[in-house]
Amino acid sequence: MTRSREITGIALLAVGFVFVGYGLFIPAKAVLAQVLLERAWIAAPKDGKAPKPWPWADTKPIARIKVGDLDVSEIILAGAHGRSLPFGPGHVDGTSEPGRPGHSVIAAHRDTHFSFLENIKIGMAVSVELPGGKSSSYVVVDMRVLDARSETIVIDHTTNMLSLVTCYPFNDWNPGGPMRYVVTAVSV
Amino acid sequence: MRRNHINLFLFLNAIALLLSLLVTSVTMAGPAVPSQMMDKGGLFLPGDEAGMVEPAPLLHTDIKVSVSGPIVRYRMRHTFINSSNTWTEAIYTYPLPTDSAVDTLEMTVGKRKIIGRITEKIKAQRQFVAAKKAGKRASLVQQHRPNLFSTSLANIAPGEHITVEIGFSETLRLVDDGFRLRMPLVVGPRYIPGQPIAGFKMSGWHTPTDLVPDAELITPPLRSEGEGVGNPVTLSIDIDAGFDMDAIESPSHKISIVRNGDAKASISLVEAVPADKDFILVWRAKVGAAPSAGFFSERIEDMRYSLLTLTPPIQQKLNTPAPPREVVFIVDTSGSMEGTSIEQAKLAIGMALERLRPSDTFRIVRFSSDVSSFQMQALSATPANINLGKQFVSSLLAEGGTEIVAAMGHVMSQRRDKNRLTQIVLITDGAVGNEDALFALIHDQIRSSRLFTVGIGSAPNGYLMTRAAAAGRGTYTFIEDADEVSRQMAKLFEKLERPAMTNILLEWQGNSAPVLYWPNPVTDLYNGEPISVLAAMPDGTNGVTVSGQIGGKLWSTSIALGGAQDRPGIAALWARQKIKSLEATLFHGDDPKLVKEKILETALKFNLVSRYTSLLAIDEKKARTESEKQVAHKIATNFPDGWVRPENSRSIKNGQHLIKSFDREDPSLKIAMRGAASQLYGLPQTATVGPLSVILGLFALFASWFIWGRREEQL
Repeated sequence: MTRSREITGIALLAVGFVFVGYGLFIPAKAVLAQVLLERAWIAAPKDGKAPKPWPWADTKPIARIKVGDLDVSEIILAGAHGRSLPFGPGHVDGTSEPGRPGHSVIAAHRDTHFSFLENIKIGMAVSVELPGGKSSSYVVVDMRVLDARSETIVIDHTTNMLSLVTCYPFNDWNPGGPMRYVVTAVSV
Repeated sequence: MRRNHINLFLFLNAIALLLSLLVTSVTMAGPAVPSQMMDKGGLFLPGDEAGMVEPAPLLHTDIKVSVSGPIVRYRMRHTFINSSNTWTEAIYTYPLPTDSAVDTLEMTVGKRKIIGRITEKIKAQRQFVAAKKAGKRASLVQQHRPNLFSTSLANIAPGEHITVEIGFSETLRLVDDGFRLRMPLVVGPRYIPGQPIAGFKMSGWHTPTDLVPDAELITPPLRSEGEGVGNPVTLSIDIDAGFDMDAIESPSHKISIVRNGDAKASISLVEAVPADKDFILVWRAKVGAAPSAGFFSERIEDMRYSLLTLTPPIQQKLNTPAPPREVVFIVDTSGSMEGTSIEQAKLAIGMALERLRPSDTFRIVRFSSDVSSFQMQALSATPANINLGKQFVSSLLAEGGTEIVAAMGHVMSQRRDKNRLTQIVLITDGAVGNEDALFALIHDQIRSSRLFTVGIGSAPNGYLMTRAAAAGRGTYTFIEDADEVSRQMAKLFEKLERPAMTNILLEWQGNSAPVLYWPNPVTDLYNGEPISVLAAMPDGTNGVTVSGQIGGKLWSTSIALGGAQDRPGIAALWARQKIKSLEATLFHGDDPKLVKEKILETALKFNLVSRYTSLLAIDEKKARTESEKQVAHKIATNFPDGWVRPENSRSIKNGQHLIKSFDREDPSLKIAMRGAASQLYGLPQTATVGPLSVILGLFALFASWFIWGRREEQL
């Protein structure tokens, strides 16, 4: 009886540590990855080719997004999927590349890289830098909440713009919620 | 021991809590990398890239046109001026009248003239690149669409100017006793549907996509608003109408006219104009002066290449009752229509609705990034319903993409009333890059319906208008400005209301050798449209009988083919028509390889630029040494007159148009969506399990503490 209780207690203790550890590892990894990406970015040759941030990386940095007002500077990765999003904001395949003409969609986790979207305001300047140093400026024109079950973003390549997408609400504990927060910035 | 356990437990828990608080604060504060670090990276200093600031070469266009009856010959000179300090390659993308037969290229460098040769497209590209790398001056003229071409010019020395001249021909149709010449001057920015293909370098403003693999070739860069308009054009036209002319006018530009007798005139632009809209010139015959038939030919060896035109009796004089009709309006409400275009479109539909008879029915479908209908069912054209339709149309806003294939697919999938003739009226500027997909869809699904296209705005895509109408066995109309809406729509409606001339057959006489003529079969003709056929006639052909059916009645006429007027260039026009007809067979399921071979053979024989052949001129004299760098520039095109720049668009400013609601269960929408590839279905899941994991972990830890605590009590 006490033995089984002890085992349960130890098991719960272990499980607790694993979960807490894992839960802490995710943001820690997110922060560390950006440091590594930052190094890879700075060390990048000027020919515009994207370097690999770590030897086994299966994504690559493609641009840097900055929001001066919020002191944000993050490296955007190719693809918005499970292999890129833990490490940085991901460019959604099939939309224009950030900083290039057309409509670009970038997604990131609300509780790590895109937590700053909660504080973004209309009129704030967003800039995107490409390898090689070319920079494009955008200005935030719209923020809104979408229900991903019934709404989506229309990709409009006639305008040079960014859509920054993250989950909503920001402080929800449930990672599978249907709501999305979409920030739109148009090229200026 | 027990105490220690609990203490240890509390200690660890406290650490865990602290850590999670810390992490939360870190993530809230954004990334840990200080932004100062990045500014000191030293990578992004402005002006770092040498050569990036070199000014693009300047371009001047001069067009000389000579009109002889229905045959028009153009000489277009592009003068490229390199005002920079580096060697430059210039690439200019420009429109030409649809199905122009481009057959000559001449590059002038100082006093030397280099004549271009017709070469298979891929070989020409390779030779051009080789010459460019070798430092030789070279120019290459390529076709990207039958109305969209580009000229590349390599190795322009600093301060130098080089002229590239191309020659091309087209035929005009005598409609309503007059000719209408349309010389497009600017490629409007087009909507490119589909998913970008990875791994391509971007050279246009759009990357290639799965649906438009050559997107970068048809999307030349645009001049920004701050740069203003550029690319000046001068233009002059000599007309030999072949009949006594009444009025000569240009609805698009200011012109000066010098008349030389009744049948001849010299026309020129009053001043150089920016290349930002189509140039249009209209000349009409005096009452009774228009010829009802024309016969022009060019002899090459034992073949007479001929242009034969014949105006059948005007159908309205035949008292045939029109069948009951269902008219489906498809109106483009994409971003490129914003400004004057959408206003003209609204006016046009309003007038069209007014002209419907109560026995007719109508539907209205609008499309941009999505497709929606005025009513699910066709409504009968009662005054009340027409008013509702007008209200719907007047509420339309132009914004978003141009999913024209989705819209057409939606209309084609709707049930059509078997007792009525379905006439689809497509109102658009045609600013898309996937024309062929639209033609194939129309060809496959038009069945007994008929499609009429109405080209709107200052720079409509003529290729889309004419070929879509041909695939839909209807006809096309262009509306240049608001003043023309009523006149042109009235004419279109005369065509819709009268029976078409169908089953047109040509029977040649006098020779056993077959006469190859295009288009073949001759397309249906609508009110007032002439039969216009290009034929290669062997010696001895001396007559033709033309027959057709109008509203069930037979009509036929015989013409003796003697005394043709000699006109050079008809052979090339014949070959171009042949290529056009060959291209159309692709939609009938002909083997693309075989079609390519046939087109290639024809184009090479007649020196024509086509989808498989280009004109290439290389100056063998080496100009640039290996040590000197060359910078390539795509020459920016103007924003078309009357269009609204996306950044000035009302809808962009409030971001509203970016969000689209959809009902996943709506079947018509599903069809529409199949074509609407450039829409995101489902946004990525963007929350980590981090917070949840921490919460669960803490929960487990407290549970564990609870159990251990209980044990302590028991002891």
